Amino acid sequence: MNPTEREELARLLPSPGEPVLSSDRQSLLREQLMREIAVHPNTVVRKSTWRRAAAFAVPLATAAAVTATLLVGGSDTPAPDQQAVDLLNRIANVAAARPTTPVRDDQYVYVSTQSTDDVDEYGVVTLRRDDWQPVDGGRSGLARIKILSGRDNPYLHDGDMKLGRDPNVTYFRELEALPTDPEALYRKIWDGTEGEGAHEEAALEEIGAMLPSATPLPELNAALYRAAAKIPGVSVVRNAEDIAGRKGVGLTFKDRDEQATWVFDRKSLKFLGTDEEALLDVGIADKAGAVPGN
Amino acid sequence: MRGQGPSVDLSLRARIRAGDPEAFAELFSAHAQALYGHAARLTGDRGAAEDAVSLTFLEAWRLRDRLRPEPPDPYDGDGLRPWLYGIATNVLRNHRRAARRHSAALARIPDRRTDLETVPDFADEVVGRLADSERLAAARTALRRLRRGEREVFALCVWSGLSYSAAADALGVPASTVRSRLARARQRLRRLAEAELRKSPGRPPAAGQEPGGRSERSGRNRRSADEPHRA
Repeated sequence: MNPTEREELARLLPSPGEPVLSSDRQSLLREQLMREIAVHPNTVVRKSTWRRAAAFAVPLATAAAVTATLLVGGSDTPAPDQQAVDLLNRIANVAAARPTTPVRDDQYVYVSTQSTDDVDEYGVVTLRRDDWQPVDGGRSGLARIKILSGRDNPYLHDGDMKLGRDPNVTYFRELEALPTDPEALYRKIWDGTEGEGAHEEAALEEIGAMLPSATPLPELNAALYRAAAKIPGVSVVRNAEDIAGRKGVGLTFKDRDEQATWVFDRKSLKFLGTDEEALLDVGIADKAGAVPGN
Repeated sequence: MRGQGPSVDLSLRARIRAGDPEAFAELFSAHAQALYGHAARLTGDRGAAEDAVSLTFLEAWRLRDRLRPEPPDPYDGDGLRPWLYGIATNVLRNHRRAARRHSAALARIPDRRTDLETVPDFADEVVGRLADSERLAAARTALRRLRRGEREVFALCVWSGLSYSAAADALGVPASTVRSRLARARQRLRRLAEAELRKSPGRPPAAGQEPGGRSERSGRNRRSADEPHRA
């Protein structure tokens, strides 16, 4: 592209200017990067999730998925795995039957999770993280970290973090505004994740990210599961386990290294979280920092 | 004087692949500022842009093995710029995934802007920067009229000045796709500007400043309706 052409294109939009990262900030971020590199000298692409899922996956499920793909015969879009569709529909029915919680703008969505973090030379640290996100996205949120096990280390410790407005968080009122018709919701998510690499994986990831805070919205929650059922490549993991060790039935996107497995209680079909992050509790809190009484 | 050992002439690319921390320091110094600009223009958010820079380099470190041994186009520099912009593109597309992967590392960064943004402590600084932020926000709002693929190409080629082939390399698509997305972006923006001109005679088609209506702002915040749940 020659400079004239670039000029001409640039004029079609207002000029964004040249945002500058201050030299202070730049050297701070650089130092921080160097420290991370020193702490994680051998961090390379991990495939732990994939390995975990593969170890548990029942060959039958894979075979069924392959058959489903073959049956469509030559089409580029394989049909969703029927086992996964059935399971998702059952999960959706249960989710839809939960009571609706009335929520005020001045409240917070409370989500409590457990996960692990590998702080290389200090070993694996298990931590609990509680998040309070403002219902309307209009105020600061709060994250509280508590180390459950692992060695003392300078990088991860107990404490509170203030959460600023994050363009990547879907706040409760925004969730509420989403369509609850599964087809419409699916389309919206599908279109919204276009161009994000493996499209099926991105769409499923998007749905997964909304699951915890959608819990108090039964209709949307059910629609999210029904939308997931429309995504080809989702398959059942017969014996899954969340990262807190709770066993259940799982759903994952086959053939993907880094796709989390969603885990559900085998009996109640309650969402337990994933093999990367266990979902301990979800609720509506009056204040950031206050645990809802349920 | 250095000897003739094999490590002497190792290119920056080779040192990155070998996991030499110094190489990442160099890489950061050379590209962080430009990547920050790119991320800020695409997100319209300085805090998010800072995080994107950190995440891009953390991902670069993690994915260093995947860097090809040879630059894609020997006539287009060392080829590390498209590599980094490609990683940045993925980070910006799926911020949540990258942020989760490196959540501990992000939490270790002191005074993150995303933490500070709601704190009205820096009154003077904020006033000074308001005009800049508004410009950034206006450009971001206008950019929203394009489809995502077009936005990325526009930001890479027009705002960040990448060549067609560098943008193609960054996005993992053929150069012809970059060209056609840019052509579609141009068409779309021209049509919109003309439509605006017809709607409000006497006003110059100030591209994007006031997009002929409230549709871009009808939501509770500046996020447009087509992406309420961007990751």
